[in-house]
Amino acid sequence: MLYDSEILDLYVKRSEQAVTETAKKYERYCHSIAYGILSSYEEAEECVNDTYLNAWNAIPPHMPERLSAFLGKITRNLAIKVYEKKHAAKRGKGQIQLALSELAECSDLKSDVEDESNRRLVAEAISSFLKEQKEEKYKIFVQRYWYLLSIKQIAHENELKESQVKSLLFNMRADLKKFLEKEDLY
Amino acid sequence: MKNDKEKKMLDIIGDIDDELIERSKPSGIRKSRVIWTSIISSAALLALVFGLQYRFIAKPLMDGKNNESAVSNQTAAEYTDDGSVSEKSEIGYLNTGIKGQGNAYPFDAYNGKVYSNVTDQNGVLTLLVKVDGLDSYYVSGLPINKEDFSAADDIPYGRNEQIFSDEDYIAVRLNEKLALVNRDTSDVKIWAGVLNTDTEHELNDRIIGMDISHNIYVLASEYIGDNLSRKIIKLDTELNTVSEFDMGTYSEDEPTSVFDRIGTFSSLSTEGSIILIECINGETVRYDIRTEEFVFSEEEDILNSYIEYLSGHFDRKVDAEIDDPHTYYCDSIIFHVKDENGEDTILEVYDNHEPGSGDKLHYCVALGDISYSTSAMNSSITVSDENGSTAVPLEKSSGSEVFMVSDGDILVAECAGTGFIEFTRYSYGTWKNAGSVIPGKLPCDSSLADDHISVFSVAEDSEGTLYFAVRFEDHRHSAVYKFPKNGPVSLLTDIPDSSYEDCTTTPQKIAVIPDNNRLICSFPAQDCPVYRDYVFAYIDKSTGEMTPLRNDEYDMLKSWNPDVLSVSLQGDGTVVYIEDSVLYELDLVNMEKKMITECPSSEEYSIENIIKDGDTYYFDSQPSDDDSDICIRYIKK
Repeated sequence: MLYDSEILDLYVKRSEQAVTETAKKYERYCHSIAYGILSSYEEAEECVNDTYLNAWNAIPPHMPERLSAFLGKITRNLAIKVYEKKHAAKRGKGQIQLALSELAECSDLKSDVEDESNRRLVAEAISSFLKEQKEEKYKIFVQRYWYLLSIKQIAHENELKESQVKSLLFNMRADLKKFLEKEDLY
Repeated sequence: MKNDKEKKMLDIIGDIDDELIERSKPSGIRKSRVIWTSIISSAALLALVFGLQYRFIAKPLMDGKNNESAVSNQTAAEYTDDGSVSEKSEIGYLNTGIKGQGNAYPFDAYNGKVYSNVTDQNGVLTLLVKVDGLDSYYVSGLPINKEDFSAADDIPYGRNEQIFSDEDYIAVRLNEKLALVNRDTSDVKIWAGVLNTDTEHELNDRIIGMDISHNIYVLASEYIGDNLSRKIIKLDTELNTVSEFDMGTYSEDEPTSVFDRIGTFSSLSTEGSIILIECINGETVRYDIRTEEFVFSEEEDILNSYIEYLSGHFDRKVDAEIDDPHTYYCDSIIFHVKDENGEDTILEVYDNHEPGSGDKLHYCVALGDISYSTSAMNSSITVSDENGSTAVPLEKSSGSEVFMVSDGDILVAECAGTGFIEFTRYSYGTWKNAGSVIPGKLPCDSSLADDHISVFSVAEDSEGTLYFAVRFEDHRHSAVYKFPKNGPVSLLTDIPDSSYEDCTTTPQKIAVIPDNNRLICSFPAQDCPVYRDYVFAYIDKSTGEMTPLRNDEYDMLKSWNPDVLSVSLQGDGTVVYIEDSVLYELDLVNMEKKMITECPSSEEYSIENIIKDGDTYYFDSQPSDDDSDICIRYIKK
């Protein structure tokens, strides 16, 4: 498998091999993210293919520092969009809907998050908040609200009881709210 | 999609730092990468051990922030002893003593030299590097900012007592400063002025250990006149505070009690939050950081003294106002119990996740009469008495678990802050201590560190013996312990994980089956075909021998969702579950399945919170068309 830098070189040279190598290295990763959100193998596969296309269009000029996270973010965004389309009319019971209801406790942001610079500011603040946490805690938070894993999956992944995961997430959301208030973003 | 604000928040979280995303990858996603980095890491470590040429990745960790670091492979460069940097060459990592696999930290390629290469007190190879060009120090690949240390600060070459590390942190002394380096995030905390050197008497303060919360303990020594004074200094890494525990002074003429008994230190280590002090005369003395007491006696006495301590600690009551218990989370569990007058009543236990309550949960108990209609399945429970709702609160750590045991008693198992498994029992209207399990035998840590255990289930037999199933967070095994009324705790059976890839054997629920000679234990069946044989297993109460259900019984079970069955095991060895809006009960002893009642099909039911109490069934449900998060609980009698 090629190093990320070599894959990026292929993108810069506009070699189609770039997509092949990206798929070889990151298909499983991207598919897992999309499948976690959509619970559909076919839809997840479509998302992953769209991810490659988006990456092809973005690189260059964009040169991601971490290719995996870059691809993961694209996949996540695409999968959420597909989910929104599917569930526009009805109340779903999927992980996104559940995650959204949980996030209600800390989503009353002061900033106008439509504005790109403000969004970035809030994202940076959340990153700072998470980096202050113990590894076990921030992992669970990211697995819930970035990877959108279910509480059950997270409990299994981290060998915890579901109640422990819920409790930990609850406290983290409360702490995040306080943190954002302190940062004058809430 | 509704929830605009929340949706925006979800989008924003999508833009968090790449590093956090990478580090939080679920294992299913991470696996191939871990193996890959592990191979590289191992190769680099071998190269290091055999004195081969060091090769470093060129992306520098310049400023102590790790945003541009970790294992992504950027342009690589070669570092050589003369400080030159060649062009791209094969990539290598210095991965010395790094936690687990895949956490290799790249070095930068600036001029520098390997300054010291020592083994720390845990036998972990820890590398110190001073990068001359930057006046920076690196510990196992982690940078310590140049602002924090001057070039004059000396690295204790080859003196391993100045470095202490575990899988997560490295504590290192550089002259009078002490740095705590987080292996994963590379965050560095610095304490200055807490470590002194007495050159006249050739006395150095030294790091003596780190506890499971990564607080650092330093043994400080100084002469006051002719008397040697010693203190244990605790650097609280959470609160950033420094506290001292005076261990008294020693003089040959008038030895104080402490030094009279322990003589001279030879080595110290940590076990949970207890510092072990091994004396040159062979005695082992424990110094309990929390009680600030030395314990000299045998194991049994140590246990007793801890239980005494804990009893006093948890006797205190917590005042909590319960406004409306039913507005809290859906995690509430309802039990049918006796109140202090021996009258039937309803007890509701719920996590009071109030913002600001930190890691504490208030296990509150609402007592009162219950009203419900006799028509099945369509009336909610209300809890009240003549004064409205009342509560008997009990403050416990986050992560503690509530179980129902015999006679309607409730048992809360908490991983107490002291590193104990602490049981508290609710019986006839009051909470009381039900015993503790000493750490070391069952280490636990409420902060979710790697070495703690989780109590997954508790059962009690007719003689009052508790059986509790635990999962060790080293991820490789589970166990069932036996805790007779008068102690001590003993291991009934150890349940190692299957060698089958990805399989674990977490005992989800345990119950005493009516023949009273056996326990039955359920296991999750997630992603692991071999589990199918172990959805349920009998455990002999005396020998601990584990017997999976017979094949024919297994055939009967296998058509159902094993996860549902596993979590629905009741205290009497039956399984209660709802399938297609029908409430069933499965008798595992006689292998009989019977339908209890039909439930409204417009409801969605919790599969995990079904409690059978005599001929009454309690469970959570929510109308499908109801957007509220409040659970409605139904009862059928």
